[in-house]
Amino acid sequence: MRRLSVHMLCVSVLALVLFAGQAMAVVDPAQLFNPGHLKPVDSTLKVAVGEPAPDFTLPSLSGEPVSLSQYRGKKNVVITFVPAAFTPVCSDQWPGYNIARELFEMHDAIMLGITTDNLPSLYAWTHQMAPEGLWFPVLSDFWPHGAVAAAYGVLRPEGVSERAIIIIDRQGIIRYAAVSDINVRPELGNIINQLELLP
Amino acid sequence: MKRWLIMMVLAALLTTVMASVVRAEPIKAGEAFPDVALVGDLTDTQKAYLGLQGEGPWTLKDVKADYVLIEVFSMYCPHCQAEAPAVNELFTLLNSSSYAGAMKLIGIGAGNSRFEVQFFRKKYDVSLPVFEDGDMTLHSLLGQPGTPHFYLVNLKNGVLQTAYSETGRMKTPETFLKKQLKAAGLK
Repeated sequence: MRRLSVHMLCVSVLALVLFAGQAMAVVDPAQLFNPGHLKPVDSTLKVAVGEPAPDFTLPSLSGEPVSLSQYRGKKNVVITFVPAAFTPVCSDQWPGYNIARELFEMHDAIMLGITTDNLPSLYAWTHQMAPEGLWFPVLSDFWPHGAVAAAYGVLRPEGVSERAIIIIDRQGIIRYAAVSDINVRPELGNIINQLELLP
Repeated sequence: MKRWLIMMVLAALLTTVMASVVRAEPIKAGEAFPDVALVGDLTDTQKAYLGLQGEGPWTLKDVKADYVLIEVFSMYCPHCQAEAPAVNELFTLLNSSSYAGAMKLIGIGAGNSRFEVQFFRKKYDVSLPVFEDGDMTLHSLLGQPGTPHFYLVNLKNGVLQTAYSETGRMKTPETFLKKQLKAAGLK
């Protein structure tokens, strides 16, 4: 009896989590791959608040490579690692950041979007979100596969990154590092609150 | 045998409760509509528009009108972002019509925190009352609709009944308003 009740409760809770985690489709639903409910976090951060952020250079959708160090002394940087193009939660995250440009610029911050997808996939995906593309640089960590995600400790065993937000100040120091449950979109207000704490 | 029977009854009860909490598809026209809790940072003008008192939470039944038209939206949804000016126009049209007192328009930000709802409101100069649903409780109760989704709810006699339910953007605010008035039997 007790075993059955516990089992039923687990199934019920799982159903709630699964359904609650379903983000609303923003890209054509027929083109979204739903991976189902995933292990919330499956890697270990290799960076910490107060440490210098590992530099990197990645190809971007604009055609120009983007380096983290090019913003040093100039802008705060918000890195948004998302797991994969054409998946429901990711497709329901960057479109929100795309209308919030002024919130980031108010805090003299640039956003860098990074996934382990290749550039053609990222181009198709982001241009479905917004025909003119996103306002922030979208970078491909495809090859060497997931090297930047691995350096930050947010590369999952299956080769996609975690859903993570890293905030780096103008001096190149990490001021915020949060790995979210991969099934849930991080809340925008919290990111802006963290930017407000920067000197 | 008796223990087995009790277990079966409990399982059936739990299934029923779960079904009432998490709907797999949007509530349809003709079906009962839940008296959902409404939480939001409303201006005095917005509270007066809905006839609400205090700081909430309120419920749909607290709204002083015969009908409530609800847009379930998300700040993150590009379709909702693009639809925002049309919803603003719909709000203006409805309020300048002779049905302004009978039908009220509100928004529910599915999966949106207070910060996100208020950002959306400011970004698109939204005047209608918008409520937050950060943990997707309302979204689940309403059948997990895609966004934007419009529900028209009949509040008359304290029994909440769905009069209209559809996912997607409206063609024009004018035709959409006519459709809602027809669904309500007002025109």
